[in-house]
Order: sequence, then C-alpha cells, then structure tokens
Amino acid sequence: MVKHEVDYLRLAVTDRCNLRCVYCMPQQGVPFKAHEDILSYEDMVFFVDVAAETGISKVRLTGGEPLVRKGFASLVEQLAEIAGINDISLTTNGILLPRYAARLKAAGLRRVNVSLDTLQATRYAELTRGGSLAAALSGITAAFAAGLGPVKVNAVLLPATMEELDAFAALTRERALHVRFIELMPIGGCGPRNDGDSPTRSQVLAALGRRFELVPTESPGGCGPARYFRIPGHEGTLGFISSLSEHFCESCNRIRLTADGRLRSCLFSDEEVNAWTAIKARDRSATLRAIQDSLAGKTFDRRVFADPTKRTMSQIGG
Amino acid sequence: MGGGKVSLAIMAGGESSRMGSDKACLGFGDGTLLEWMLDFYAPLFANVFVVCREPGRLPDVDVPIVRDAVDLRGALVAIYTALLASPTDRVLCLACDMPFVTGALLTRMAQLSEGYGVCVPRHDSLLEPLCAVYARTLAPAAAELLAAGRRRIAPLFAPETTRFLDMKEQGLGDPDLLFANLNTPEELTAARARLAHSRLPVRVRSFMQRVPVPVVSFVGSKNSGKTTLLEAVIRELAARGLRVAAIKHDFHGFEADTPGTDSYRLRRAGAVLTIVSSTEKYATVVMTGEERSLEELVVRLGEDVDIVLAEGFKRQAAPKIEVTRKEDVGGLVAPPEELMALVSEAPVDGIDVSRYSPDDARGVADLLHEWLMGGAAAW
Repeated sequence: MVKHEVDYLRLAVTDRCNLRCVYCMPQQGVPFKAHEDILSYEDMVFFVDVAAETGISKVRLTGGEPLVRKGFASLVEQLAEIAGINDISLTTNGILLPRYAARLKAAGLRRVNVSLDTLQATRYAELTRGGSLAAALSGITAAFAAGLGPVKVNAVLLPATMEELDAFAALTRERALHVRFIELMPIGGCGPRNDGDSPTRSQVLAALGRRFELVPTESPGGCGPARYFRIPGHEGTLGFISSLSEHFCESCNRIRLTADGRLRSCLFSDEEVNAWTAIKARDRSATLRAIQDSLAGKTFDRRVFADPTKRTMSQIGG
Repeated sequence: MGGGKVSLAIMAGGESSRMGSDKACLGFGDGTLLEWMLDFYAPLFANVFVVCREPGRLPDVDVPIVRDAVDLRGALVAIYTALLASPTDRVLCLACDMPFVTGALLTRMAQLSEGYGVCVPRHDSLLEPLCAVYARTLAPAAAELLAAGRRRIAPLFAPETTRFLDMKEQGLGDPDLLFANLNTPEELTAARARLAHSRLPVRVRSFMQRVPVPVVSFVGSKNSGKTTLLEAVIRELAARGLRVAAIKHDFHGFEADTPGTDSYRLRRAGAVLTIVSSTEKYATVVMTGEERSLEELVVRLGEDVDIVLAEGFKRQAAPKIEVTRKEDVGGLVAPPEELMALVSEAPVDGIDVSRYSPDDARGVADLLHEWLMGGAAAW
C-alpha cells in the first residue's frame, strides 16, 4: 500500500445552511449546535496554523453553508496569512456569492465549488426545499466575474440528471466551468441513498457519449479523485466522482475538521478524534497529537461502506 | 474476478488498413465485433468503456465511448486515453480484434496486476501489450512518450514494475489461439470459421466468461455411471499434471463430518463456517441456508486449479457432458444444445455432438484437455 501524503484539510466552518437539500438534511432540519459549541474563527485559525506544520497546504472551507456564517471573509483573510497554506477554496451553494465573491477574492480565496444538482428551477426548489436556481446561477457568474475560476459545479447524480445532460454540457461551453457528477454516498441515514434509482457514472457517460464526443483529459487543477472529459470546442469539462462503485481510498489525501472540533480521517467512518479541548486551550502539542491520532486511524484501505454514518453530510462538511 | 479495482477498456480505434474497413463494425457472431467483445468481457468488470478515434463510426453500445485524448495514431494513444478515462487505478486495455481471449485469462491478469505498473502476457519472448493491464500512474510517462513523437508501448514496461504473465503457466491456453487477432480478411474468415464450430448457446458461453476457471458439468440420470466416469477422467487429467477441482451436487443433504467429532459439535453449536485442518488437507463446512449456484461455488473456490469438473447441476449454465445408458428411456436430462459431448454405448437420435464410449475416459480427458488449451476458440 502506497503511503499518501496528507496535504488537504476540509474545514467545516458551520453546520448551518440556508437550504435544506433532501439528501443532506432531514426535512425537520437537524438540531444546530449552539454558538458556544462551535469553534470560533480564532480557534480555526489556530488549528490550521498547527495543521500547516504537519504538511497541510490546502484548505477547503465547507459547511453547512460557509457563507451564512458572519464575517466569513475575515476567516479567509486570516487563513491566507498562515505560512504554508497556499490554496484556499470554498464549497458553497452559490446563493450568497453575488454578495461576497469580490470580497472573498480580495481576502485570498482561490476558487469555488458550487453545489448544483439540477438546472431546472422547479426541480431545484424541490431538491433544496425552497432554493432559487436563478440565485445559484448568478452566484456562478459572480465567481467568474471576481476571478474565482476555474469554477467547479458539483452535481449529485439523481434519476432526473439523465434528462438534464444537455443542459449540464451547455454549462461547459462558454466558460472554464467544470461540472463534476457525484454518486450519492451512504451518509447519515436521511435522504435518498442510491438504492439503484440513480444513474451510475457509466450510464451517464454512455448517454453523454451519444450526444457529444468525449475526450478524456488531465485534471483541470485540484487534486481530487475525479476523472474529466472535454467536449471538443468547449471551454470547460465534465467530470465524475464515483464513491460507491469505485473506492478511491488509495489516493485519499485529506483530513476533515468539523465545526465542533472533531477530526474525521474518513468520510465513511464515524471514528472521530476530539480536538476541541486542545484547540480551545491553544495547546499546540495536544492539537498536533490529535491530528496525528486521526491520521493513524486513516487506513487508506476501506473496503465496505455498508453502514450509513451517524452524522449527516451537513454536519461533516462533505 | 476483475471486480471493482480494474476497469476494462476495449480499444476500437485500430487502423484497419489491411482490413479495408473499421474493425469494430465487422460482423462477428450475432452482431458486430465490438458487440461480441462487450457481450463476453464486459460482465467480468464493474467498469467498462470503449476508446476509439472516431466515436461516431461505432455501433451504438450501452457502455461509454470516449475519443482518443490526443490527435495521433497508434495503440499508445489508446492506452494513454484509457488511463485518463479509467475510474479505477488500473485498467485492462484489450484490442477490439482479439475475440478469443478467455475470461479466465483476463481475470488472472486483473488479479496479478495489483501493485504493478503493467501486467502483460508473454510467450516465447513475445509480449501482448494490447491485452494488458496498465496502472494510471503510467499516464504521465505515456504522455511524455507521445509528446516526444514515440509510438512504441514497450518503454512503459520497466522490468521492476512489470508483471510478465508467462503463458506457459498451465491452464491459460494456447497463446496462438488466445491472442489471434484480425488484421486481414483471411484472418477474419478463419476466425468466423472457428466461431461456427462453437455450437454452445450464449447462455453457456457467457457463463464460461464469468467464471474464473473453466467448468464442465457431468450430468445424467441416476446410476448412469457419472461418478465412475468422472473418477477415471480426473485420474487421467491429474496424471497429465492438471489441477482438477471436483464439485458434487447432492440432492439429499449430507453430513461432511460425522456426529461426535469436534468439528461437528462446533458447527452444531452455531458456527456458520467450520474448518478442519491437518498437515495434508483441510475441509470447510459452510452453513448457507440455501443452495449455492455452481457459479457461486466456482467463484469462491479460492484455490489455484486448472479446471472444475462438476457432477450434477444439469439446470445450470455450465457446458455439459451427458452420461447415458440404453435403459435411460426418458431421453437426455440436459438441454441438447448445451452438450459438448455425449458418453453412451450407442448414438442418441437427434444428438450430433462427439460421442465417447463409457470406458473411454482417456478420450473424454483428451477432449477436455484440448478444450482447456484452446480457450474460448474451442467453446
């Protein structure tokens, strides 16, 4: 087994969100953590500073929806100043990007991933339990305008995706926009698990191939497990991230910190190392030890993801 | 099996200069050559796709088709493209015009390739790079070769990271038959003629492609002499150095370990799997609750064998040899089209497969041996 360098931290800055996507949160919502149970920005900056010592150089800010947390740009600014951190990115639903994109760019944000599972307004409102597609799309436009490109769009593969392949492909035509189709994961009980209704990577790729020529291409920046295809003449690409049919543990390069200070070394495991106390005490060596403990529990070799994890995706940060 | 860790890429972009038309679209079996390849090899792999230079020219198939990643010619382009497109870390690149490789060979290659950059068959110092497993880690090296105007695949075969699969290993078959490819109209005619010899229906041939080792089932009515014949055939094959596995179907339920033994007590206490192990053998008893299919049993063998001979299982899709006697008035128990041979004193009306006398175990062993070495071509 090859030993992989872990250089990538996913930091969930909040468990709150302005949407209620059906596969992410139960309809009634999940009890949000009280303010005092969530790491402060100062805590997060301290943690990332320690993590940078262990070789972490890339930080992705996730949630919940990061942009709903007050003063988010100031967190980005502080993280950007940490020595060793050279790539700060954001995963967002895009709704608040028109308001913040320029400010975030100035603060040091490099790029954004926008979660967008459908390009039909009514379907979007259903999936997100009330969200506006137009708002999300203007978020993408705002990201390009602010220079936060290449923009990646993350689209969970749903039964309806098959009807929207032309629309997704069209997104990649004019701009360096990279659509990544993601297979549903067995996370956190609620929402539709992929019980066979959703198309597989192979089915989507085959259907796309009937409409367009697909040319495999090197990854357009980033370092994830996605595979990309370009339609000749298009600026962007179409990619696939497959979680169930093809496990990608072997190339996993990441750790995760939840908003309540727990380290998770694997998205598919409930194993957590509690770094809360160490972070709150500003204890560098204890924080370092927590990171090392978490890494030690990282197997790089999980085989079966049969059991849903206990926390929802909105609590882990994807 | 190839399972989820190795993908299959069918390379359909060959320059068919000597054939005069696109190879993938040539008629073969019941459809095109490409469909033949997918029918037989796709079920072995969780991820399958086709690589070619002009996707528009291919027949419509239900797996993804991707276009060459760079606008150059040659097989290295197809391999590089497959490496970029593969969702798994390793991908078996198989030329579209090699319709006779066996599922057993591909499965073996997929298994052996773990931890290597390349796993490639070798015979008489010849390599088969168009039927080989490549790791995605080779993509940059392939890109460099292409950028430097190189066409040859061989520079990817670094000795320390390449697993050469020696075709002399028993049971993998005759390389000349397995790797026969179609470059000329004459070769195509010969290949089609070989197909015509294969009378076995698709149900049986696709069973053969799914299992990791060849299986033949000996069927017949009760007391027809199946076990006696099998005994003699196994003795023959074992004497030729082949490792034979035998699977016996039992209608009545059985006790593999007798009441009173320790293993019997452990199993009765509720162990779902009991193994009794000694210096020269071991026995496993697995409580399944319901009968496993022949295919499941073969997939779970877990031992390195060359052929599986089963007794019974007449309804399952393995190719069959039926043993019958004059007294068997009820006709044959197997569907006639699934028979590869008949063992009987006298011909049976309407059955025109090779017939062997019940005391000709050597003849039956010759048939199986030849069948084993001929791979898919003989099916």
